[in-house]
Amino acid sequence: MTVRALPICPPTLTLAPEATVAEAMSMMIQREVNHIPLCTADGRFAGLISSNAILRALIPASARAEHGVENLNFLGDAMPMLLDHLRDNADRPVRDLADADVMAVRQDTHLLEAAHHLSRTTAPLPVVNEDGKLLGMLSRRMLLTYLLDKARTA
Amino acid sequence: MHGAAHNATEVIWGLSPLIVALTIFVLTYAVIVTERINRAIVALIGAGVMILTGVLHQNEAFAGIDFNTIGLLTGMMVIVAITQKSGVFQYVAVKAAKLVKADPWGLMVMLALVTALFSALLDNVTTVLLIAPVALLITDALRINPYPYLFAIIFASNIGGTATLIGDPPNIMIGSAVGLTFNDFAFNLAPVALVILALTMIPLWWFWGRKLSAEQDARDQVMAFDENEAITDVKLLKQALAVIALTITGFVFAHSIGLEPATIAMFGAALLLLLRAMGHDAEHQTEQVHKSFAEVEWVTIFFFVGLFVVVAGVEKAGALKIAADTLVHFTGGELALTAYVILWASAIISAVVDNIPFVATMIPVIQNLGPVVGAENLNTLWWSLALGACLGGNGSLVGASANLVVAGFAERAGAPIRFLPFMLAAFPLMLASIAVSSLYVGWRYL
Repeated sequence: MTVRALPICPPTLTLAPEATVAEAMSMMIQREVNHIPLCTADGRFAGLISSNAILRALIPASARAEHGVENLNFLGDAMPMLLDHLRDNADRPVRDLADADVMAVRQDTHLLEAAHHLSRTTAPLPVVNEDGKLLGMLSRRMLLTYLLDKARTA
Repeated sequence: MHGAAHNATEVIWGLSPLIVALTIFVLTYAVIVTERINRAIVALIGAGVMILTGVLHQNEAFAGIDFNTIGLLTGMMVIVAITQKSGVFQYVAVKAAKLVKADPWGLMVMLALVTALFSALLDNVTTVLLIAPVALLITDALRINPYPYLFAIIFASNIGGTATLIGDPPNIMIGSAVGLTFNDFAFNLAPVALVILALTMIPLWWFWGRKLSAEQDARDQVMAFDENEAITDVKLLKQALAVIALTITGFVFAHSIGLEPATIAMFGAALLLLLRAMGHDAEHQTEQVHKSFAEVEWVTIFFFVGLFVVVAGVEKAGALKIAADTLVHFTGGELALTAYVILWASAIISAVVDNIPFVATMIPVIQNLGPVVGAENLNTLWWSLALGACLGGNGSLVGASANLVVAGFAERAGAPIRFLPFMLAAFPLMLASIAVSSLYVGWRYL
């Protein structure tokens, strides 16, 4: 079985890579989603922006870098710093914060492989065609629904 | 084993041991400088080839490894790996920042002092690995450019490391090979290191310090930091500080009770491991000990092992005697000129290449100078070598491992340090510190 078996719908929610982080945040809040795929004008998949990546940009860089400060308790709530970082990031293009190396799958990807990818991240899987155009997003629930159906009918 | 007799019959195909050893030596160092292959691998391959080609027997190779250096480094690394878990380094940095009311220039002075002090008592790499993230955190909260602080931390770590036997690998190697004690280093190098640190702050103030300012609300934010919250494990903190105090006391008195630094450091490490293990079951103990050992920088340790063998090879082949003779020929064996040449050449070479292989090579060269300058004058040359090699590390980003560690972290945290701008400021500042060292060597020893 491949990803083709699943009811992948064209994406209703996308952002241009040039859109601002502020726009991405409002869209996430309004539409109650945590991930938005980025698409170029001709429909090519260009990364995935997540609420997690935005939050990561708000905590101090010295804490998110490898071998950084692990315990931030001593900073108190540091509200001014968080708000500073929010302001600094609001006007940046989303592509700066998007996961560049996010895995995208094709329609001929086997379901096991798709399940393997999905099990290792919290994001849905972008499905693209041969030209790199975004066909839709494959969610965990979509895959589980399909598998459950199969198990019942088998 | 200095100036040991050549044993040409052992070298493969009857080649000259001098040529074979020198070829291996030059190739090893050339590949190390390119940084294309991990330096520990290169050193170990070089060491292996020294033995495989018959330049050295395995016994001679082992004899060439300075286990005093290896033991001291490994022991201190274990102690620091365990201690850092307590959060004490963050505590000190935050406390220091608050002591100066989060004033930007005051912060730079305090971070430099803290870094220099820790670098003098622990190894530089560990010190900057712990201080640089906190420095970035505080400058982030102050909304000021972190670069001047990272620059100051790099300089302070190399200057602080110069001050003591255990502060910087070149000192560990020199002390171990020559039998100079912790107190010898403290009496001879700490005073000049302190002066250089103080003088270094003047250009730093001129370049950056006088122009730095932070808004009051940003400073209030730093003043609201609670350093006590940085301490994650009070019991561990007490144990670690007790062992470190005991270890440093041990270094101070080691010589007078006939002990070497490696014994003190390794025993300190074992003691701290014991304190951590007590009251835990076997499985937990195994895991804890395993984790502590895993944090030892084995790449550095094996790099040392390989280098010691490579240097032992060229020494046995007589190359270092020739190097020493050349140096004497050049300086006419005059003590003052020899000292200054060693000081300045070490500084400039250490600015562009790793100072560890350089010092490993220079130690036997200087030992060979004993008959020329007089054994009683050799210490002048050791202090010149130590000052040049340690302070020279400030000359460029690749001059010392600590510099690279700071640069690496800064890059990951989005505040990269560029090679050339750093060198344009750092190299002249390093030369100034060597000028001060020259005055010091001239005034005190010549």
